[in-house]
Amino acid sequence: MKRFFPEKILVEADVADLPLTRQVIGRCDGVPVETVASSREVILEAFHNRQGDFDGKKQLLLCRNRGRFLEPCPGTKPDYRCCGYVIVHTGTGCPLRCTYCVLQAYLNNPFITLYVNREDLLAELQSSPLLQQGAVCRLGTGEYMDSLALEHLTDFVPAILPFLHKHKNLVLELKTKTTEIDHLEGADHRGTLIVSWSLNAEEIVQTEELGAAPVCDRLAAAELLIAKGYRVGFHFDPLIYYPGWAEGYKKVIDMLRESISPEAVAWISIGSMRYMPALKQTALQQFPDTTIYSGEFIPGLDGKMRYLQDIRLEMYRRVTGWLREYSKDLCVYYCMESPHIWQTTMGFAPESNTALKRMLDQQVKI
Amino acid sequence: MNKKLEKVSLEQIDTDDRTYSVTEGRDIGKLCDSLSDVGLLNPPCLKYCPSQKAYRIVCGFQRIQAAQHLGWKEIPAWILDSALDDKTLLLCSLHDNLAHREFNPVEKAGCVKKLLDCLPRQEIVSTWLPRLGLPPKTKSLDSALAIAGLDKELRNAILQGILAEKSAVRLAGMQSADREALFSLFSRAHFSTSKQAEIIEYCRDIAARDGIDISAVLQDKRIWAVLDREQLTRSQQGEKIRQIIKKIRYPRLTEREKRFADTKKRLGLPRGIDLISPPFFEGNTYQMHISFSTPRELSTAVDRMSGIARDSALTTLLGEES
Repeated sequence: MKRFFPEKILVEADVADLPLTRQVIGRCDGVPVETVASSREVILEAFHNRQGDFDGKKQLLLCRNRGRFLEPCPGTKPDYRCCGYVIVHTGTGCPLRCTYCVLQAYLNNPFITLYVNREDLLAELQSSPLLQQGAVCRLGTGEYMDSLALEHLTDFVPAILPFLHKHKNLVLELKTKTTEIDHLEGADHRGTLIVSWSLNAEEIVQTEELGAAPVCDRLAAAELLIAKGYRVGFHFDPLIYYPGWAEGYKKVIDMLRESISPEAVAWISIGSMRYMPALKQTALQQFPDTTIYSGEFIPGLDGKMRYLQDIRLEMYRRVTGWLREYSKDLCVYYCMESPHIWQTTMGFAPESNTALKRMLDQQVKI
Repeated sequence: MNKKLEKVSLEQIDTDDRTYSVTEGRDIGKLCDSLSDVGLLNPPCLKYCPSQKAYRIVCGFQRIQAAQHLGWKEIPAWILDSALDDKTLLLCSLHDNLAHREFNPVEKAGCVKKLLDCLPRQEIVSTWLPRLGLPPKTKSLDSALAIAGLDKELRNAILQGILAEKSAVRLAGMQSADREALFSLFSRAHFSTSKQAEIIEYCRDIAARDGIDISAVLQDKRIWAVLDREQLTRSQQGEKIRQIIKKIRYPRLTEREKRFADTKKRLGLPRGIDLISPPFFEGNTYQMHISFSTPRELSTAVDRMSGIARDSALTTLLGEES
């Protein structure tokens, strides 16, 4: 897949002299740079006044994060189990164009945005109560952007590794749909990094994950990192119910089985497509040809649209069955599913979010 | 602003020119009465166009229309400075109307379209949309433009309350065959604003899922059979058609609802006891509601519920969950 470089960089005046700003600009040779007084204003202007040819995914906005860098995963509704990982907020948006991306409805910011005040991030990591409990804490940067799509510009991994080495209870999960692993191959990770790939049926990758690497390339990248001593994860999320879904997902799991030793897999998550109701209209404006929103979605107990439970059960039974054939010892978990779904398809259900967190924490081998 | 009051022959006024018109779908009956009773109180504004050797109306389209209707030969009018540009004259027309009346949705849409020819989008969004009673958002501007781009029949349907504004905006973005099929349905059976939105969304989803056009979705024989049932009111037809389209859109949910209804029937629930499914069958928690007004009724209901708990129909229903 093609490495991302923006067509234009917007720099908030306030951060123009920060080291990360200079580094990113330096690595985007020949890319025009425009200094803007306020990121907020430029975002609002673009959001309210964008013309037909405007494409925020070709522009990189470098600015300051004035809020928190760390936050607990928002999936905390009591009706569905959440694994309790901690989001590290390094920026928002990514160059990939996934038709199901929740960020389309979540953010009013059309730009790919990087927070360049990294010293503030590192300071918050030092002092955050979220990380002070001594217990294992799984951090992740893949909630608001692809964890690796901009790594060639940001060097986030080498910047955070020393911190991770000092805190033995922390592990960072890098979630991606790319093959941007150059910077990881030689990294002194000491087991503190888990690189995970989102996997989907090839038909879905081709039509709904525009710009992302093909599944075989993702698995090849995983193989390379496993050879370097990494543990990896996989996320079958979102599972999408389409004609031929069973063959499509079976094929991906067969590919997984053929290329990845289960011992190297820290965890595999499964989640069916779900979205805030507002996403559908926004996504259909962006991607009028997508058909994934025409599934039988119903409002879930958390207000998000989900496939009818019968459909989810049908998919989960098959997918978990194939994963069990891959290895009975895999740590397979659902992202935001009810205890009833767990019990029905897995034969057990975590009693609480804490229990699910514990189940995943046990997979962390630092 | 330079202007002079003159009497102008109605024949010299180009009433077909709508360059500055912000009026659509208005009835001039009351205005005719007013002109007949007390005459013209507020002369219209005109601009002379030498190339056409005629006057162009800036403000007062309805007054001139009413005067024509009453058979007047001439009308007093303010003749504006011919050097004034289109932007200034459009703003004159807008302010003249905004000051004393509410615009209907089609007029608002037309104003936005005309403003776009002479003002930047952002200025229209921030200044003019609120003046027109619209939220100052890009989306409102886009919706107004969509309505302005509709053909006259659909614009009239909005004014007549047949087509909701939101529905019109959705229809505007469709292929003509799909737009016409939906408009035809909304013209024949009655759907509330929210039901129109639901029908449009269902049809769009079915078409996307099945790889067909919306017009093909609406060719379903069951829909036409309902439209042919003349004994039904338009609202009843609308509701039946909505149910048919919902069934096509959500086949598994509909099947689930049917199975649940069949189970309730098999259980033979007595009056005062009702079985409630989880919303949209999400989760596996069912509820049983008892209504009673005496201890004896409660006692009877509890006894009956024990029997229901052992009923194989209930076991089957709960077994479906796993």
